[in-house]
Amino acid sequence: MSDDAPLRYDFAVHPGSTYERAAALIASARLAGLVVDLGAGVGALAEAMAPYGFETVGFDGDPANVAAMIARGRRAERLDLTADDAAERIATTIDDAPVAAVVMLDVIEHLPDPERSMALLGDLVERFAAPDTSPLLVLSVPNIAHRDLAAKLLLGRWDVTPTGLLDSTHITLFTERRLTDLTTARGFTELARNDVLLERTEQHVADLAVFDTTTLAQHLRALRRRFDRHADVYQFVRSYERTDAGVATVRRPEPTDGPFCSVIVRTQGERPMLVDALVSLAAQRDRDFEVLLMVHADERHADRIRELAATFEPGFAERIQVHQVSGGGRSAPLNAALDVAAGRYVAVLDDDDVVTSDWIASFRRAAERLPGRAVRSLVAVQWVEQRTGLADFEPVSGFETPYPQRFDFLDSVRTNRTPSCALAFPNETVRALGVRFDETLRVCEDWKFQREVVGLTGVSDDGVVTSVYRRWRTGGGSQSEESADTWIVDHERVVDDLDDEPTLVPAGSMRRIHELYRRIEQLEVELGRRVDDDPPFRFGD
Amino acid sequence: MGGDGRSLAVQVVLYDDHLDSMIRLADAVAAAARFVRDHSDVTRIVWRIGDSSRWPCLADDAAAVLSARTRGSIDEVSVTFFGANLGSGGGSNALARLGDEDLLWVLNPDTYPAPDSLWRLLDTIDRDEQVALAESRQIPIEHQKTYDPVSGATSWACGFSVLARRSAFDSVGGFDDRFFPLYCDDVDLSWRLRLAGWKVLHVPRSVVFHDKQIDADGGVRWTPTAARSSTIAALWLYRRYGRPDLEASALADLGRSADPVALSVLDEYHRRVADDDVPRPLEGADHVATFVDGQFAPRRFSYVG
Repeated sequence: MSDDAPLRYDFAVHPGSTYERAAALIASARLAGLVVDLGAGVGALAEAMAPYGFETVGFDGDPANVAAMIARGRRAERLDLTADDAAERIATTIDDAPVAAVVMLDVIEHLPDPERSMALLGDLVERFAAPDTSPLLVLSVPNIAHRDLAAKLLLGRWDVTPTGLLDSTHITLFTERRLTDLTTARGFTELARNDVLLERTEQHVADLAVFDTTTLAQHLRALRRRFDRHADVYQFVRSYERTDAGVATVRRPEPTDGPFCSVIVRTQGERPMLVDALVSLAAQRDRDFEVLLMVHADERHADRIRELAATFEPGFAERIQVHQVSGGGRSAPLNAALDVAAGRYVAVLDDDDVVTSDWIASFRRAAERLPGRAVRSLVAVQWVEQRTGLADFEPVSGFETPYPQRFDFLDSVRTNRTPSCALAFPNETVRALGVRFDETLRVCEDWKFQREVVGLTGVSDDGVVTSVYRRWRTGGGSQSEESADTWIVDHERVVDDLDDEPTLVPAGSMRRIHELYRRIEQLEVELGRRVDDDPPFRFGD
Repeated sequence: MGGDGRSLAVQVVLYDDHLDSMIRLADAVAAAARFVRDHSDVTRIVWRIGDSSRWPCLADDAAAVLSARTRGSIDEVSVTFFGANLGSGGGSNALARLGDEDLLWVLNPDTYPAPDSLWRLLDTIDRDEQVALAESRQIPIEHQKTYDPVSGATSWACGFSVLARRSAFDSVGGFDDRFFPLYCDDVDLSWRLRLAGWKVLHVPRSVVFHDKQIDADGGVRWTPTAARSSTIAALWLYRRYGRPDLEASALADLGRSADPVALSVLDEYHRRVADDDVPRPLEGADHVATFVDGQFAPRRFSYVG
C-alpha cells in the first residue's frame, strides 16, 4: 500500500461507533493499565480511549497503519498476529506494565483460524494477569445473521462489498452463538455488551423494498426477532473476564440430549389430586419422559412433594425433578420449567388432570407422523367437585368430549379449543422462538403460548383420547378461582397481543374465510338487514 | 424380612398377559409393599401370580425376573400355571389356598397402584374389625357407584384392587367360581360378606390406576368378550339374589336382540342352567342386593357406553 493511498479501515470515531462502545466497556470496568489493541488499524480505539485517560498500545500487521498511529503520537508496533511468537513479542513490548484490557476489534473475522486467535488472546490475558486482577478481553465482530442478510438470502442474493457485513476480506463469519461458543470454550465469561444496533445496514438497498414496510417484512421481522434476539445487531461489542481456563459455562441441556418428552406438572403444594396425576404418569407404557414437578409454593411444601416423589418406585422417582418456584403468577413455574426441560417435546399436565397409559405414546405417534409439528391428542372432560371427609374431591359427571377431534387453526382463533394436557410442543422450536408463558396473564396463558407455537409449526393430531381434563364445579382450579371478568379481559389481551404481529394462516384458509363472509351476508339477509344486491359485508359496517 | 407381624399376599390372576405389563406392575407393587412395611406391622408380603391362560403367558424365568425387581419389598414371588382357565374368581381362590396370609390384596394385572394405596386399604381394615373388604379408587375412569361419604360403606367392592381380610374371605368360601370367567364375582363376594354381617368400604384416597381407554366420544365401552361375560354374570346375580323378575326381563330383552353377543349369552345361559352349573339362589339375601338401572349400586354419575 502506497503512503498516499486511502486507509481502508480509517473509520472515524463517532458516538456509537464500535470504538466508542468498546472504550465505554473498558472504562466501565474500572481497571488500571494499558490497553493492548490487536489489529489496531490506524488507532481509532486509542482515540476513543484517550478521553478516559487510558494509554493504548496498538499492534498491526500493516506498516502504513503503524506509521499512521505513530504519526498521531500513539504507541504502535508492527506485528503479524498469526505468527507463532506473537504473544511473546507483545509481552516483550508491554514489559511489566499493568494491562487493563486486551482488545481485538473487527479483526478475528479477517484471520484464518478463530480458535488460534482466541488461544492468543487467552494466552495474553493470562500473561498480563496480576495476582488479584485480570485484564478485560474486549472483542467485536460483525453479525452475519443480521436481518438484512437474512432478507437477501431469501431473494438468493449474497452481495460482497468492500467493507461492512460482507467485507470481501472476511475469512470467517460470526453469529452470536458462534462468538459465545468460541469465548466460552477458552474459559471466558461475558461481562458486558455494548452492541452496535443498525436497523438498516449497507446491505439494505432500494431493490429490497419488498422487505421494507410490507406485510411480508413485518412477518419476517417478527420471525427473526423470535428466532434470534440479535437480528438487529450489526456488530457484537462485548467484554469478557477469564474464569477457570478451559472450564466452559454450564449450558442448558440440549433437547437432542434428553428424553422424548419433558412433562411439566405445576402444583401449588401437596394438593390431593396430584397423586392421581403422578400415578397416571408412572403408569405410562412409553417411559421415555421426565417429570418437572414445579412447586409454586415455599420450600417446606417442596420438601413434602420431594418426599411424595420418593415413595414411588425408583425407575419413576428418578425421572422426577422437583423444583420450588417463588413469586410470580401462574405462568412463573411453567417458564422456570422451560429453562430446564431437556426433552425433545414439552407437555404441561396440571396437577388436577389425569392421563391414560398411552398419553406419551400418543404424542410420539403424532410426532413420528409429522416431525417438527406440535402434537395433539384428545381430551375427555369430567366435572368434579371438592369434598370434605373421606374424599377430597369426586367426579359428578361422566366424560364429555367438547373439543374438536382435529386441531383447526381458524376455529381456535375464536377461543381455545385444546386444553393444555392435549398438546406437546417441539422443545427446540419453543427455544428457538423464545416463546414463554405470559406471566402478566392470570388465565389464558396456555392459549397464547399455544397460538404462538402452532402458528408456525402446525399440529399433528393423533385423534385418541389420552387425558381427562377435570373441570371444577366447586373449588380447585383456575376455572373457578378467577372471575368471569378476568377471563374476558385476558382473552381480549391475548387476541390483541397476537395481533401485534402478522399471522400466518395455513393453506385452505382463504376459502374458509371467504365462506365465513358469505355466511354473515346470508344471515344479514335473513335478518332483513341487507338485500342481495347490497355491497359485500365489511368489518365496521 | 419376615418376623412376628402380620402377613399379606398380593394376588394377581393373568390371562394372556405380557411380561412388560407385569414389570410395570412389579415396580408399583414393590413401592406399595415397601410403604406398608414402613408404616404398619405387616412383616411378610408375598406375591402370588396365577396364570389362567391356555398356554403359559410368561416365560419360565418370570418369577425370578419379578422377584429380582421387587427384592427388598416382597419376600417371595411365585407364578402358578393353572393349566385351565379358572376364571377370575376361581383363580383368586386357588391362589388364596396356596398360603395362609392374614390379608389378601386382589389386584388386576393391568393396574398401577399408588405407593400408599395398599397402606390406605390396610389402615381402613385395621380401624374396624368388621370390615371385610376395602376397595381402592380407580383412575382415570372412576367407578360411578355411590358410597357413604363419611364411612365409605358401599354396596360392593370392585375386584380390580381390593384388600380382603382372610378370615372374612374364608368364612364365606371366597369367590364363587361359577361367575365364570369374570365379572360380578366381586359383587357376589361383597354381598355374601355383607349378608354375613361384614362391612365393605370404598377408600377414595387409595388410588390405583386401571389401564382403560376412553372413546373419542367420551364413551367407556366393553369389549365383546367383556360385554358377554358381564351380561351372563348379571343374570346369575338376579337369580341368586331373589330377582327372578329382572332375570326374566333381561332374558326377554336378549331374546329380542339381534346382537350376536346377546345370542351367544342366551346359548350359554341355557346350557349352564341345563347343566346346573349356575350360582345357587341365597334365601333371604335380597336385602343386601341393590339393582338400579342394570347396575348393582346407585350411581353418582354415568358414563356413555
